[in-house]
Amino acid sequence: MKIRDIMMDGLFRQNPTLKLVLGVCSTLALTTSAFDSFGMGIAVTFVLVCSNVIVSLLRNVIPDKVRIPAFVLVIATFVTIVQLFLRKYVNALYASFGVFLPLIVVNCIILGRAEGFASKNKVGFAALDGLFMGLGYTWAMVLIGGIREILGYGTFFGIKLWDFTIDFFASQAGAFFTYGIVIALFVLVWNAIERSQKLKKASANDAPVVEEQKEEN
Amino acid sequence: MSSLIYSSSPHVRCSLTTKKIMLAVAIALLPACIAGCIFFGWSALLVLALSTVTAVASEFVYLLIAKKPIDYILKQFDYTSVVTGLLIGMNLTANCPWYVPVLASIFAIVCVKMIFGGTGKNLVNPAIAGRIFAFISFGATFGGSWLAPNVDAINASTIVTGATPLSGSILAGDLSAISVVDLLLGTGVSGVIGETCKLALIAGGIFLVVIGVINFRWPLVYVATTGLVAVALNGFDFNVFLPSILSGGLMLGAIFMATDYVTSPNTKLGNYIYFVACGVLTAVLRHATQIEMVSFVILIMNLFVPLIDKYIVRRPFGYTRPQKQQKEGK
Amino acid sequence: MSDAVKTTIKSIAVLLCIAVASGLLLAVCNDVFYYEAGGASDFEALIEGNWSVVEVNGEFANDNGSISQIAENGTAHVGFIVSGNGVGKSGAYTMAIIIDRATNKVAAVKTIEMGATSSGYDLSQEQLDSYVGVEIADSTAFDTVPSNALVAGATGSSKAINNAFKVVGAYYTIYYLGGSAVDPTEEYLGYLGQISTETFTKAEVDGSITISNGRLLLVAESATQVGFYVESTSDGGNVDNGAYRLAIVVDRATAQIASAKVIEEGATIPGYEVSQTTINAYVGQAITSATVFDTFEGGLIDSSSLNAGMTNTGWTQSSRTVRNAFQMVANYYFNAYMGGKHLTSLQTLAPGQTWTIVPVADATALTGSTILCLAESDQGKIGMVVSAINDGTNVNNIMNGEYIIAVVIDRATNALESAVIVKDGWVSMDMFAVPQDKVNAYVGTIIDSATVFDTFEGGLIAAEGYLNYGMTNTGWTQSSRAVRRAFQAVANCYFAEYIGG
Repeated sequence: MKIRDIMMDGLFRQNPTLKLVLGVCSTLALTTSAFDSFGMGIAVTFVLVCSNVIVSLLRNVIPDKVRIPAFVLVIATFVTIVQLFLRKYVNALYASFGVFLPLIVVNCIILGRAEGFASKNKVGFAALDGLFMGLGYTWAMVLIGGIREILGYGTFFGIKLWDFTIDFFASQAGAFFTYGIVIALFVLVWNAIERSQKLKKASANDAPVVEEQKEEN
Repeated sequence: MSSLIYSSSPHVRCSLTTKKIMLAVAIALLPACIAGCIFFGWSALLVLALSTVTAVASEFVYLLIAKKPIDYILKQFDYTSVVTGLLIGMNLTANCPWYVPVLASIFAIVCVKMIFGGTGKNLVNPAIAGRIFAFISFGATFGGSWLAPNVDAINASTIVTGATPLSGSILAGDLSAISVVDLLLGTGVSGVIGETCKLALIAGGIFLVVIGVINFRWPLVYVATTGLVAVALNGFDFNVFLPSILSGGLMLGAIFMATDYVTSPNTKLGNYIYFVACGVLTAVLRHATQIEMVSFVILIMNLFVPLIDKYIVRRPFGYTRPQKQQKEGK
Repeated sequence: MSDAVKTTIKSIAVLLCIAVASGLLLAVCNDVFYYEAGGASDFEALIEGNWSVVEVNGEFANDNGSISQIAENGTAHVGFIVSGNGVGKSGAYTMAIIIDRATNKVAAVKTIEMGATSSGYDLSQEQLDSYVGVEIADSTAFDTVPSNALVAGATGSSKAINNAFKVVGAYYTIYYLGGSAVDPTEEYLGYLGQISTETFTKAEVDGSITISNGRLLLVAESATQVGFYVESTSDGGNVDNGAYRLAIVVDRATAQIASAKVIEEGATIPGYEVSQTTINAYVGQAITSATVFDTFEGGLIDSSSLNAGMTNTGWTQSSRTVRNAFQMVANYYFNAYMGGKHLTSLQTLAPGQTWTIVPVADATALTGSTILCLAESDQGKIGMVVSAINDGTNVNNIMNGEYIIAVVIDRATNALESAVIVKDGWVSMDMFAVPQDKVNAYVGTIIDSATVFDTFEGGLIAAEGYLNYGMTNTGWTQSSRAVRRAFQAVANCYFAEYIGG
């Protein structure tokens, strides 16, 4: 079930944006448009997967003392590849990312996963972890970006919906605010889901235990 | 069981409850609201009504969603949302679209007050936050076209004749005729609904001081500091003093919003620091940006209050400073 | 070797290996993803096609900017990456401009790098697109900025972008149209010199006046005259006519055509040329309205008088084309210099009368003001449209723009009957707008001297009003002083023209 664990961790239980609150700079800066958020998410996912794979392959080779510089080297390589690719093929994204594209190198999510997971696990799992962490980041970004874009600009993925805008959500203050509200709502919803799941498990397993307790009293 | 009553502190109770205090504040706000409605017309009344009703309703709805029982909700209703709603309405212009007071009230109540824990737990003044939200989000509607107050000093017909477009914004009356008296009474002055009639605001403030809700010192300190710094910034021209304290949202902010219990410091020295800083910042920022900065200044200082409270601590009852040890020997 | 040294060596070795491997990988990717800055991809985004970069002839640059790259889409389009020099507060703009080679018109434009200090001062794509369709006939194609691309409040950026277009215009003219790189203004002024002894300086063309059947190549002003170098085209007909180029000079005081000459003959059939004698029929004609030459037949050649072995009827195309040139001049001169376009303000202010424009001897008699239009009505009223600025000291760095007022004076009593502000000049804050009742303070005054308003304070607004947020100003507002200056100009002009002295 390890794969399932990795998946649930990456997407929900340890969602880097909404639970671990990592990589906040890019979240706050790029969520003004859903398309930008999506693009960033995909870029980060790609870098995550590639760097996780390489780090995992080299995990027994890299000495402990220089692991961070080594990770950063690897991550920087892949970020540069993404940069070159975007500059050639998706110039719009390249322009709107601006300085946040090279900042992916120091995105805590990637370094964190390299250090915390990829350097201790096999390649396959590391790759999957990178993939699902990246996807978790992506869906959270798109959610926040979507909300901010719809409320702040009246468009969604660039398609104009209506004329009414609440400029607050387009501003930086709105970025923090929306981020906070989305985290709160996600935690609310996820806790409710987990609680109901636990109850189901409890009712399935513990029925005899409860009866015993009653008899003791 | 003995007939003695056991209880823990506090043992001395007074009849002043949050409910009564807030009701008093709401009453103190009424003269300025009425003045605003007279000056700006029915649309002002609508804005005030919308903001107040939305504020109360959003608090109710929030508590309902949080699954509190109805009788609890009714019991804990302490008019704070009424005051917040009224203040937000007074901080908007009379001609703003219906969704502005609604959204600002919802934002202020839900996001600034209820999420943090309700009455007494908010970090910043909800009315201030609501006004700033409206300003940032709907600024174009907000500051651009202020409705002409419908008292004299304005030739309303000048708006209409085609050859003289006054480009959307109505001049606040004959400029040379705006005297200090006009500013005090609010006749012919443009602004948001609640801030133009300073006399009404001052009357409300005096009422609150008399019944002991606010301390007379603090608004005075705030207003005086603003005036003095404005004088200093204008080359020590004392003619500036009265007009600068009587124009804009200073009176409303100083009397009703900066003095909010929850978001002002606990100690006397702390309050002095808080209000003097407010005054200085208001005057300086007004001078630098030429727009009304009172709400932003109050917001900034609200955020400093926990810092002020941390370092300026109330002296515990019976505490005396230890005497310095005398130096021994020669 | 101790462990520590071993680890150190291993660390360095590993890092080096990773670095080398990354380097190799990136070298490969760099080639694969090779991106030419501003190359084909920028043009691809605008117009699809097979773009290939061509060499820029000699690193082209002029006073307005420089071209960094050119690419061609076969023979259909040519695209330029050009940098236009910054103007005012705006920095240099880098634009991608594509010209359709078949029509010599701008096909697409995009900002590559904005020079504005913030995006608030940048032009939107819609505003940039007003350049699309502008034809490059010679290097003066972009001397006038299309009205939508000159954004108030962002004039620096607008002009920087225009500079980029000017560079393209110059380059395109030389290398794709085979024209001359030299700014033709000197050449055109030379033509004016052939028919007038005055010294002319180039004037800015008022883009709000619509010109048909040709274009104004040059509008130049001298002390007493206005000179035009125009190119006119024919308006139909069955004989192929080329465009005519004429130099025409108008005398300001009398609004008459002072002299005219054909510089470039457009007739393609021998015998149809327009001679100087024919042109001279126009000389001495007064421009009384925008359409004064519309039905003027004095300069037209009856084609039946020409013996070309064909049956012809009606006026020759060539002479009609020449007449178009004079029509253009009349139209432009009437609207721009005689205040023709201001007639509507007078008609709104005092309706029910017919206004006829009369020429003003000295439109700028009073510094800081211009008489835009002087007109007489058939009911004995004099109407004026005047613009004025105030050049006094500015408080709080508040600059006021130009105020335009329209006034009506009763000839019989010399009384100022009515006045209204046509254009509010206040710039920074609403509070400085001048309301009608302040203007009305001037109404009723008898204009018995040129200086009757010089010390008049009834219409001035004291800036001591504390309006919002404790702003202090002292003295009279700039705006009300500008309005008073306009009235001063009215008094001055009225006194000079009608009361004498």
